[in-house]
Amino acid sequence: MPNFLATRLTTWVSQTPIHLALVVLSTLWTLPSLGLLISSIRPPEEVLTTGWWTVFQHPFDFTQYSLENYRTVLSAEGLGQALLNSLTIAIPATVIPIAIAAFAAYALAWMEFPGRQWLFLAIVALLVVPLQMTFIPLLRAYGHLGLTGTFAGLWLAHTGYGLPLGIYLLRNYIGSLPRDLIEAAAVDGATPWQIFTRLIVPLSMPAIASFAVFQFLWVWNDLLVALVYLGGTPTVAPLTITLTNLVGSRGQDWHLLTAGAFITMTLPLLVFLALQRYFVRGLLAGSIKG
Amino acid sequence: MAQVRFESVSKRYGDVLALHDLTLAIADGEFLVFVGPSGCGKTTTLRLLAGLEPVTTGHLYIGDRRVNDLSAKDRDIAMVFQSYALYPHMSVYENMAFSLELQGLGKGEIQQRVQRAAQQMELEDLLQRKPKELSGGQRQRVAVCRAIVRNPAVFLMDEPLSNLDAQLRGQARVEISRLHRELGSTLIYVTHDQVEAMTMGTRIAVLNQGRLQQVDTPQALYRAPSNKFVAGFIGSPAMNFLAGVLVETDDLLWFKAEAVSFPLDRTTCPGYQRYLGQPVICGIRPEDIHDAHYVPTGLVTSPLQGKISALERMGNEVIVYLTLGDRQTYAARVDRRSALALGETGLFAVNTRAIHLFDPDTEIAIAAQGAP
Amino acid sequence: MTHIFGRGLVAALAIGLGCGGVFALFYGANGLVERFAPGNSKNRLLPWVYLTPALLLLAVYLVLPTLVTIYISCFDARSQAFVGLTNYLTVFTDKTMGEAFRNNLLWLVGVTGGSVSLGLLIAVLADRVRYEPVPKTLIFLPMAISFVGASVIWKFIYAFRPAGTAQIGLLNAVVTSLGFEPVGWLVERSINNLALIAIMIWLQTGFCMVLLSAAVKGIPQEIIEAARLDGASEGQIFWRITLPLIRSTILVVSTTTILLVLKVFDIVYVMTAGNQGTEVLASRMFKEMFSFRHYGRGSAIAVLLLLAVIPIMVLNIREFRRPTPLR
Ligand SMILES: Nc1ncnc2c1ncn2[C@@H]1O[C@H](COP(=O)(O)OP(=O)(O)OP(=O)(O)O)[C@@H](O)[C@H]1O
Ligand SMILES: [Mg+2]
Repeated sequence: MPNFLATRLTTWVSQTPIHLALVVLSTLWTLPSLGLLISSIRPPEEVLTTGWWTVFQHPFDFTQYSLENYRTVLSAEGLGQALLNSLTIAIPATVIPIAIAAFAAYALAWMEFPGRQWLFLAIVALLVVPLQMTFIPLLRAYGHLGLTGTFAGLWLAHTGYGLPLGIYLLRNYIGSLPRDLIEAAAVDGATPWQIFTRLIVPLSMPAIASFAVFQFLWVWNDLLVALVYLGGTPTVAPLTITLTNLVGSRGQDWHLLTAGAFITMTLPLLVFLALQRYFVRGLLAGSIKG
Repeated sequence: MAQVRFESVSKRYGDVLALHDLTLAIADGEFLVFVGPSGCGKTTTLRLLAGLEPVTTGHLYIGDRRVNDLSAKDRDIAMVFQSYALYPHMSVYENMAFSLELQGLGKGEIQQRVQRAAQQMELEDLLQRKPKELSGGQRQRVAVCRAIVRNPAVFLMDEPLSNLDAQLRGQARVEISRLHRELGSTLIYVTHDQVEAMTMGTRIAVLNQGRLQQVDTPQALYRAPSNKFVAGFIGSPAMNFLAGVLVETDDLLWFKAEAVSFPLDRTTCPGYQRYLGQPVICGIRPEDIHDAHYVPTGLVTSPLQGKISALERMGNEVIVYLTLGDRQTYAARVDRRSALALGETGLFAVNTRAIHLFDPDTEIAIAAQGAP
Repeated sequence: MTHIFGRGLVAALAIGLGCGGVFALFYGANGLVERFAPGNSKNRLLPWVYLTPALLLLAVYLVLPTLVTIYISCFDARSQAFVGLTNYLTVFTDKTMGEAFRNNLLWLVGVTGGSVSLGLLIAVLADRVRYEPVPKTLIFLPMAISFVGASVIWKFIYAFRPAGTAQIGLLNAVVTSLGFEPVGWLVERSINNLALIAIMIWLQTGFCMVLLSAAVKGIPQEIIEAARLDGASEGQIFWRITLPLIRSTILVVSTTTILLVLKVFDIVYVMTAGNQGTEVLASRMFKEMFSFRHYGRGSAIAVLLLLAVIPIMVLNIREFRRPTPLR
């Protein structure tokens, strides 16, 4: 028994450099976010005069923490409205492309029509197009149609941009379902619509979840597309735009910036931690997004 | 009601002709088995009938309806797939209720019908399980049950037993035969296992390379195969074939090959005249070659000497493999008491009345050609 | 209070309308075809019912705009007069654009090299310890953070106070405690690009690590053991066995990172707005569009981006032809 312990000890010791490297790297990666979190719950005067690491001199002195900063940014700085806007943008901009991509993927995988393979290839090829290619013509069209600064305009834009990845991902998954299952349902009397809703959708949930997590994070964290199509209208601006504006207007008010940044991060972090498995899958398949 | 008719049905996949000009009528209530080697077009035939593939040419009828243009869901058929195709996200109950629900039946009636079908297949205790919680045999029963709950005009089954082990397969054979008797519906069954075909079918349709070779009752198929393919395919071990010529001396008809020759009975080979002096192929079933010491009484036999190259003692019989000096191996199924030993030269007796003759070019049975 | 409640209600309504609308669309179209299309044409029509919304959106949002952008890149600022390749010439000779090209190249090399090698290092190291998920999750976590959020985090780290006052930025606190003068990380032209690149490495390493880790784990253990029996040291195993075996994943990870970096915008826009010599192609294009209203030149930059993406993408897709690692 002591022998066994001794061997374990020696392997542990011989691995010291590995442990050390991992600890250093993990700390390095965590420190920035930790600093942000701590600063966001310190009173403004202290954030602006001393470094956030000073709280560790008395970590359990709870008087040095307060949620005041959050109250300020949410109300006075308009982050509350921005949070609502972000939700209003991100949820439909995730649901709509899922629905459209799933129907298209089903047709591409299991319905017979001429040119099916070519169509799929063409859609996948669209993964190449950088979004920048589309801004100027679309912005002009939006101007004519009065879509600039509307949620609907942004939903449709995110849907269009998300579709190639969504169709690619879902078609591959739906196409790999056993042919027998789909034929069994057809023989059992299901119409294409019933096959889709009763069989394809429930069975494709893993792929749908992957794409959902991926698209949600992408839309939630997007700044560029929102800036282009929403312009400067504050009533519809999502968190990313509002926070960017805050950086511009209150660049030195770190107590507000840190709290604001943390608010933008909470939801994606929760989604991410809860559905990490699906997100990784989406990443593996979606790492070629344009 | 549910008679099924194929009229000159062909199916082409690109360059592959999967089914060639099939014409076949299946009577109401019949148990018809399609059998043939892998890739011969059995599954294709079922899928055409089910409406899962469009036919290339020809007409399909179920009952009095021409169904070429009906989609699968409107053909009133149920199908059991080789993989069972149970819906993995639904319980056994939901699997069975699915098609009834789609028909728009009420909850009460669905429940009643599912219960009745489950009773028939002894599945009452498994109704709440998901397919992945079932054994292979149970899955197979659920798949069959899902088909019978619909009470369709025609049942289609594509190798439903091929994923079971030998013992379960035996039980399931009996089970399906029983169901067919109870339900009285038309059942079309695909297999490549000739034991299944012979034991279950009221008629058997033999397919090869997309062409229908022969349709008949199991006994007729065994007794009078219409060509060399059917003769070789039905029966195990397979029929032995020897190439030789047909000659007539005095009042006897002779088959002469390199290593052996047999006298034949003219009455069992109608139509032989055209082949006199011509090459023919002679077919002898292993069970028509006996150990010379144990010949059943009343048989007309001709002696045969062969060197024994292998022996399989099965308990109730012995399969002997022998060579006749022409580099081929022939199989014989002899009495279990046989004392033949490996390496010996044994003395056998061939039942000459049971010999089949085939045209070497067309491979069609000479007896089946009839008088020209 | 009712104010907030009202706004929440409006948001919920909008969300419901957007999500419900798309389902209603499909349901309605499907119902129409099922009910009214004559028996035979139904099966031919249905695929198009399911495909049309997707095809329409793809055409409107990707295909047509791309063609139009290529077209107007040959026109002047207001897209009125044809100017041939003038925009491209300007783009290539302009001083700030030269800077943008140089910076983009720096980003490509720095971010790709940095995050791929760090990702590989962490993947290999974490593979050898029992608490593997902990460092991996910590390093992967920034993937969920937006570029804007990350920019704020790092702006705070780079925060600069004149010498003599207490530093609240972590980096300058370290620098001054070591006895040096505080550094203006984001204004000093020699280092501000590197400071921005560090943010991207921080964000992107997790991604590289996850894919590379999957590849490292995919190497059969027997091969490693066989090499060990053959007397290879751990270092030799890494360089001669592991690395060649995950070569294709490294390629995929690198090309993916390159594609991302090529279009990097948010970080530069938030941190420096492209000033002090930190311009990149995408931020430059944004300026051409919104500050200078020169649609011709903006489009020319977009076309250059597309041209840069295509060869990389072709390489990537060739690798992706192999079975997807999705399941
Ligand atoms: N979708 C298809 N495309 C092209 N060829 C096909 C297709 N389906 C079947 N075939 C071809 O048609 C022929 C008949 O196939 P089928 O599946 O009917 O054989 P089978 O008799 O069921 O064989 P098995 O006993 O192996 O199941 C084969 O040559 C096969 O390769
Ligand atoms: Mg088959």
